Amino acid sequence: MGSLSILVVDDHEAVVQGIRSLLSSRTEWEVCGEAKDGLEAVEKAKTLRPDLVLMDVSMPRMDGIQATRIIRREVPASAVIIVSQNDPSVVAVQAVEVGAGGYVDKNKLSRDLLPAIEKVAARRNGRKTNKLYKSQPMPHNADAKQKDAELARQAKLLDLSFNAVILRDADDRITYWNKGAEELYGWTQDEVLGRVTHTLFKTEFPEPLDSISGVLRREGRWQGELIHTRKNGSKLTVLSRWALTSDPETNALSIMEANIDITQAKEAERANSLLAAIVDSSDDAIVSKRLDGIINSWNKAAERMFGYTAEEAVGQHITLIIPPDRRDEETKILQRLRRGERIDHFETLRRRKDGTLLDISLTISPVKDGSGKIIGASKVARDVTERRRAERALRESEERFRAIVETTPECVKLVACDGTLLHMNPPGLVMVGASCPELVVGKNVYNLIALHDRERFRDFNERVCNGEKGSLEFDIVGLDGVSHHMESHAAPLRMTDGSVVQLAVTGDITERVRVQERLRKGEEDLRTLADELEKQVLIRTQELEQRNAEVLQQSEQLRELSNRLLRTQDDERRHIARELHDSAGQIIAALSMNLATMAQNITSNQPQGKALADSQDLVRQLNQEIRTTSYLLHPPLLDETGLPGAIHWYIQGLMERSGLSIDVKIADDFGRLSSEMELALFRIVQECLNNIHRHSGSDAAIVRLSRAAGNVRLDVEDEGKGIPTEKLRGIRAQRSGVGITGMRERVRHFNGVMDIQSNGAGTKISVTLPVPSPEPECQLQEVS
Amino acid sequence: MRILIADDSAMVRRGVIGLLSSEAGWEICGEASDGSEALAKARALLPDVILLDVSMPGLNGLEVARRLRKEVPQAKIIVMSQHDPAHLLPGVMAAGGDACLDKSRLAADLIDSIKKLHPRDQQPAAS
Repeated sequence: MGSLSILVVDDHEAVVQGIRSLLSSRTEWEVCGEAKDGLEAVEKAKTLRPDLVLMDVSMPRMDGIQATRIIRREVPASAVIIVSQNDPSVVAVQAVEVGAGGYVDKNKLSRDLLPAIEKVAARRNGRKTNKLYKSQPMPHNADAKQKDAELARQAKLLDLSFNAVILRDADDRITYWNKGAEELYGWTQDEVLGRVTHTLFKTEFPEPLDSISGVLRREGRWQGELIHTRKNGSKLTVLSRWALTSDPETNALSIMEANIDITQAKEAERANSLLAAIVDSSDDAIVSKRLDGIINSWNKAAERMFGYTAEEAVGQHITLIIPPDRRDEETKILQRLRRGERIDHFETLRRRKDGTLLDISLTISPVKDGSGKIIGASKVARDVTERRRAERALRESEERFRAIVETTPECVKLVACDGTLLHMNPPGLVMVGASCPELVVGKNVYNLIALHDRERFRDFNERVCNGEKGSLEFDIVGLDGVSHHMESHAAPLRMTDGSVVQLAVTGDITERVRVQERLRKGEEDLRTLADELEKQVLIRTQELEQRNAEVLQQSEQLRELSNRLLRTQDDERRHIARELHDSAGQIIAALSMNLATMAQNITSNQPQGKALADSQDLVRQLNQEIRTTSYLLHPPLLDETGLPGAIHWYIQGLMERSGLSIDVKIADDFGRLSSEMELALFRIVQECLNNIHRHSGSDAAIVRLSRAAGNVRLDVEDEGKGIPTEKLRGIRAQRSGVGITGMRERVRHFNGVMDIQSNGAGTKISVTLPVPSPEPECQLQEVS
Repeated sequence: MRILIADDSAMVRRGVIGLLSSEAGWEICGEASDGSEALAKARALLPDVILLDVSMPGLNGLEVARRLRKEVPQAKIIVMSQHDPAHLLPGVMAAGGDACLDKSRLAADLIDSIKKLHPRDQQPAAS
């Protein structure tokens, strides 16, 4: 192997030193220079023109990929091996793209670095050889043996390549198949020689094969990505480079094809671009920085949040966005990062480009290299200005609520579904007789509920914890043994851990209930009393009504009795009068005739004649006495000629007997009434005139009897001294005067009216009786 | 002269018969004790004078008088009453009676009353 001049590029001194020591075992290899970043690497490559550059990827100012591209363009003689701690598959693709000759995983430097360098060195020698071979084609006179040896050497070199190298003829039949191809596809050269590549690989082309062949014919080269299928059936994506060559001897065309497996790289690329898209579309600012604080990535949200573009921010120190008074924060963060700690939701202030401050929540994770070494940090910053404001508002609101809860006179408590008391405000503690919260909080609240209400309360609590709202009245027995009657209004409350508890506001309504009970009882008593009173009143009323009815009945009975008495009296008088008059009258009539017959035969001179004449006189007197008495008892004219005749006869007799002067006026067409009514009116006239004769002192009286409009009217007047006031009052109150009472009863019997007017100038008694119209039957009889 | 006497009292009828027995030519041709009998006897006997008590069982005396006046028009009807004849007279006249006497005064008034009603009958008797 020949000597190699090597440029080592890495921003970490430790890495550089590590590589140096690895290389020191090979004396023919010389480290000609070092660079700390991409830019420096390019400059050094230009001046030092090394055979090989060992290029780190993640570096300040310019990364290794970019630097490699430039070096490969500017200093094509310098081969580059990428040394990366990143995903090897990604780096592999990048390496191919920028023209790196190989790559080594930083984590496996000690194992892979030297072989990789050797491979590059070999290729380099090969190229030199090839160049020689191509630029200085074998002389036609060169013997075949030498030529074969040359070919064999080339084949050996090709076999050394990691890449699959395939030669095919104009018909696409395989003529050469290197070890790389064997490893990549699984077929040995013997298996594939003569096979058509596209058939063998079941190639999926990005464009029609014809157009690829056209490019190849026109330009001699084609490069693109193809999808192949291995011997074992698995698919792979390859970066395929085709070159058209012609055999200098046969002039036959052949195609050289080199394939690199980029399956993983493609997938990583997809994942990476997805990741990049995610990072760019994130609302959170995502920034990465090195441990020395230099920003090396800056997404779109960071641009929006802090006001700096990625160009402005990348390469700047992170203090760009840290307010001066928080610079020490960064030092502490870096210290923690170096210890490998992750910082979650660190809330702080940052400064925008325009100088304004914003509240952010930072999550900072260390970024490690392949060897686990911490080389930087990724920061995710979330603008929490709004959240902070909301939090402050929430805190204030919470404080207000807390103040309300703590000062409200009612018990405010939180009860878990299993009955555990989670919180209780001071008034609540007083209600349950707890001198400090520890006596009840954290314990089961059911123990405070009176036994008879415990099940109900448990049921209620479980229902509220299941999302119901509600109210409940229950009794508690406090720690001090005092019972209270409580009224609770409860609602479910979701806690931050997702559990639902009962939030209850409970008032002590013992007193209220007691007052209500007293009130209710008072009302009940009152109602009972009122009911009792009403009942008593009802009973009394009924009694009174009964008494009244009895009195009425008695009075009616009395009236009936008095009526019957009057009628009986009338009947009796009529009977006695008849007996006296008719029977005695007949006898007297016969007696007087017999005496007269005797007298015809005896002269008055004879002693018998004198006695006979005396007897006849006595009989006449007797007849007169009996007749008068009988008539007064019942005037016969009343029955025979009616009321006017009877009244005239009576008054005639009374005037003769008493000396009273009585003026009688009775209408000529007065007619007849019922015998009962005629008798009643006759008796009233008789009574009135008797009273006038006996009591009034008047020597004159007026009697008027008339009929009009279905009534009969009687007036009896005198010119006497009048009825004494006291007596008149008694008469009007219907208390006195048997005669008057009798008159009144007679009037009442016919539903009539009696009026008594009396003063010092005399008395007038007026009686009006309704006269029933004659019954139709009687009229009919009369007509027929 | 033939006289029919109608009175429910036999005692009164005997008194009247005794009283009139002194008058020559006067004959008590019949007696009746109620209105119906009086009517029947009057129709059968056709008396000159009928003495009629106003109050008898059955028909009222005035009613009997009214019928007698129709059925035995030539007979003189003297109504006797125990009451004052002055009150009874208008009713008696209306019923067709010829005279009205107080029963208690028959001894004094009857003979004169009959004689007044039949003055011609007196002549033959007197002559």
